[in-house]
Amino acid sequence: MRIATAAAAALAVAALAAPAAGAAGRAAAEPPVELTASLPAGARLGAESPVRLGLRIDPRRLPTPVRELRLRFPASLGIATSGLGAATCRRTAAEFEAVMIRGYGLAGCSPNAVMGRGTARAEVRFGPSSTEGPITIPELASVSMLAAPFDDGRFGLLFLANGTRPFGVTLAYKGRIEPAPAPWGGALTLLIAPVPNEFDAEIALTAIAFEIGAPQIRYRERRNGRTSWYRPEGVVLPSRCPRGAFPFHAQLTFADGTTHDVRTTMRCPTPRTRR
Amino acid sequence: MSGQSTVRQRTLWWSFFAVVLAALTLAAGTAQARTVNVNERASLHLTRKSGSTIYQAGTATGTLPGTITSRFHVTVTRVTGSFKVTTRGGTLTMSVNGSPRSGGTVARFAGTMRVVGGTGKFAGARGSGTFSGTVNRRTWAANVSASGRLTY
Repeated sequence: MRIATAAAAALAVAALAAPAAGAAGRAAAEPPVELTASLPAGARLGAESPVRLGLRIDPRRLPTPVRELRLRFPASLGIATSGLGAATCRRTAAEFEAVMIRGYGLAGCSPNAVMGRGTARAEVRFGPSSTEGPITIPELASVSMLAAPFDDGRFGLLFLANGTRPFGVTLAYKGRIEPAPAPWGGALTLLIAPVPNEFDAEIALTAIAFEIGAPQIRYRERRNGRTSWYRPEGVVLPSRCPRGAFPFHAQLTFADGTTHDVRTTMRCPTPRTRR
Repeated sequence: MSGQSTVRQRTLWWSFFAVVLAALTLAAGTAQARTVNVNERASLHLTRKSGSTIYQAGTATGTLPGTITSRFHVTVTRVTGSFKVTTRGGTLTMSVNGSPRSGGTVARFAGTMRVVGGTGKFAGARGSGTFSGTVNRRTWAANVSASGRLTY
């Protein structure tokens, strides 16, 4: 009887432990950085479409904050041939240094400058800037990617993050699109400047997901004295699926100078069957 | 022996005449080739878009008036491709290499171009030049000014 009870207890412990061990195994098996790229259902070749991009960073394995994200995109994607970025939004160098800016939403920028929308998750760490010492608070934010004026001959970008909870602050980050060798069409670069020392806090990006040419983007125009809204043309897909589909490559540079590379391939949309 | 010598002499004379004739023909061809300064204005409209490639057509006015068809590969940092001008007496095909210079709905661009082909009186033409213009990124209608030198 005692043996049976002990065996049952052992089995119960084993049954409880097995999923936990599995979860730990899965966590270890998952890459510390994951990049995703996809097209929405209904996207078709030769037409315009939003492009969904996602990046997830495991802060337990890569605790140092990311300072620069460089995302190379394929030359076959018509980002420049889209209608996105009909206006530009200029922010001062002082605002980029301060990171936290006044205003909410687009903080005074024209809606015609919005090129993409999405969400971001970050860890806000207060106190000593070590991974064990600080108080860590997860923060959620909505993100807008906007066109900015040309910067040193390069297409400028502005990333605005509106904290949704628990901190309702607006953060401004500088970006730009730089040239990249074939087969890339360019490299979308986001510079994540540290928040000024006076706050004794650091923000470590843990996830970002945004849609270039998101369907909810609307531009304003004046015609015949009337203001109307239209949906700008999104990213133009080629008429044929390119060999190797649509590859993406992200390079993350961390605050300690280390880098991490990750790649993914966005699949071509499934051709529609003709009836 | 003397017969062989006569044949050799005749052959030599014919070779000499052939060389002189070829030289004269080449000289005449060179004399006909002319170099002109070209100043063009082109108005293009979109015919098709595929990914980062835009196809346009339109008209050119200036030194070589005619019609234009073009194919440009447009990235955020570069514009490459070619266009063909069909004008009186032949066609000219040019390759272009440029870059956008501003964002916004009406974007500016500029770059260089060179002759890569020609037909009719422009067969074997060579030349190069520069261009600049604006494109409406809603309609993809473009206005381009180009200038350069052309030898044909």
